[in-house]
Amino acid sequence: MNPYENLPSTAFWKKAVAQQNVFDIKGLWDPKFDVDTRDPVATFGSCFAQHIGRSLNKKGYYWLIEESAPYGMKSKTAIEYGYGVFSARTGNMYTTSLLRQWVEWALGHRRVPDELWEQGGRAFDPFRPNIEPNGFKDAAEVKETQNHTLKSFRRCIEGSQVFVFTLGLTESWINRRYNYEYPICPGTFAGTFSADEHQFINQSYQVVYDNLAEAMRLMRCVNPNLRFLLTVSPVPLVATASGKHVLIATTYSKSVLRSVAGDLATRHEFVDYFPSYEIISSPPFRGTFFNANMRTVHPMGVQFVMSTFFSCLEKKFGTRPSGQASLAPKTKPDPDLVCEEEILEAFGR
Amino acid sequence: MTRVCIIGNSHVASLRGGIEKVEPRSGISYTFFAARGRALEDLVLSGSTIIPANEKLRKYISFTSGGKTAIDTAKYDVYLVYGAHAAPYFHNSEAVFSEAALRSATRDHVSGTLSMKLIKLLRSCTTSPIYVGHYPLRAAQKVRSVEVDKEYIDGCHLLNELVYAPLDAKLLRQPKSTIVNGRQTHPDYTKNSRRLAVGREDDQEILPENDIVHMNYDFGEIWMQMFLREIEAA
Repeated sequence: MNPYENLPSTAFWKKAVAQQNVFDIKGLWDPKFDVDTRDPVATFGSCFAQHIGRSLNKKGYYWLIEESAPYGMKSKTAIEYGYGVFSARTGNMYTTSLLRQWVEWALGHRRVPDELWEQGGRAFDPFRPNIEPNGFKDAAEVKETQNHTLKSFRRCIEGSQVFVFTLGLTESWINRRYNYEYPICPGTFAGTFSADEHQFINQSYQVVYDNLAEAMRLMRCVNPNLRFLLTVSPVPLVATASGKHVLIATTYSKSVLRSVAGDLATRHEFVDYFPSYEIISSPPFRGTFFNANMRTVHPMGVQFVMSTFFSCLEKKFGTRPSGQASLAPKTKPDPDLVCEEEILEAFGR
Repeated sequence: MTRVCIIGNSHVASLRGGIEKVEPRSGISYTFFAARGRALEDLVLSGSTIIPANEKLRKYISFTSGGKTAIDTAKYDVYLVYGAHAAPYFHNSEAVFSEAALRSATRDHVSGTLSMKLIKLLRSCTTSPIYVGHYPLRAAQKVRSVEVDKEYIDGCHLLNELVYAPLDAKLLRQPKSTIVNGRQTHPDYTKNSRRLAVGREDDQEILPENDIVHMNYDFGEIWMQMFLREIEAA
């Protein structure tokens, strides 16, 4: 008698993967806790997280939106202005350190820096450079909307029952002097790059882990029952500043992020990990769900990921009634993603 | 003599009937150019005259205007574009939006509407004042209050600032006395509302009871009184 004799078939590669049609691979996710359609769910993170919120909304789940578009704004315009992309207009949070930074700002542990980027007579928020198509009219408007978003983000922390965070990158750009992080390298989207002021850091496992753990701890201080659902973006890096080949850099990043997410889910009963990363990018799926650029995810892939999500929940917890409609703009099935990282492609020669 | 030209869709019926109930003002004449649905989409510019692009529309506007088959902008002093898919707007002035976001939102709100097409058509060939009336707020089933939502008032103000003022036009709010429950029309004003007369068999037919968007001549009377006060004050 040994421990392998009583394991289910899903524990064995041959039965669970090799002998299965790729679309019949089952049991990838055994949810730790239920996500009911009435539970307010906040979503933040990297570009891939945008799919999760929209899918939740479409399926009748309560996708928490704390910053709604102005009346009359069409869905397409709303997305361009960062409404209905995440639960508040924070823009992409690619790293766990960016999440921690936003949490600390929103909860008043740290002050938002006054840095401002200017371009073409318009003002840009360095921490949300792509939040409006043409920036803001002036510094005051940047600050006013920033403060509004911080309050909205705080309400997301306080008011959600499940906080979905999609980890995207380990590569980050820091202000050397004051040690705060930008979501994108200054000078790429707006602003001016200075090697004296700006530092590249490719974060280690421990740094990624500690930042996420601390962000979650801070959030649970104000919302003790908050649960977290972590995912890792399967989307490879647009570009790397690590000096390595982008394929190598991507593997490093995703490996670190996947390890952190998995370890935190193992450690805490209030954290779960959903394997969207494995579904899209692991070898058995043979890259089926990537577009021709082998980077962006085909809508069919998003659909497969999310249908796996919902079916795993229903299998474990049963079907449930439709929930409250969120305030998210109604979008067509495959709207363009809002992704500052994409701009790095323009610098490739 | 102030020559008023009123252009719009089926909602014009209430104004047409309403003006008959208003005590005649000396020195003001009215001409209505109206057609149901989106028929007025087929108005086109010819010099300083706006003409129908098809026979069916020509018949409708001839009927409503008392025989005119074109809008000769040299012959009118004031314009009112009424209904024509212009929707009321609601703005929470406590919420924080950038100026660009509000401009985009209000632009989205009016873009593609027949009302905006008509306003631009007029503005391309006349400098006379243009007033705008949105289609009526939906009728309430039950009256709970006579309050008017601040969001409606602020919404109209914002539309004027960002959309209509640049076109030298002005949106008029629905008269306060007709509004209930913040942003609905008193149900009495939808009773016995009638179909716009355009020379068809069902002209002036009483609309079904469940039509809560078309208003009756009593509503039109109040609206026109407000409009007349507005143009007399201008």
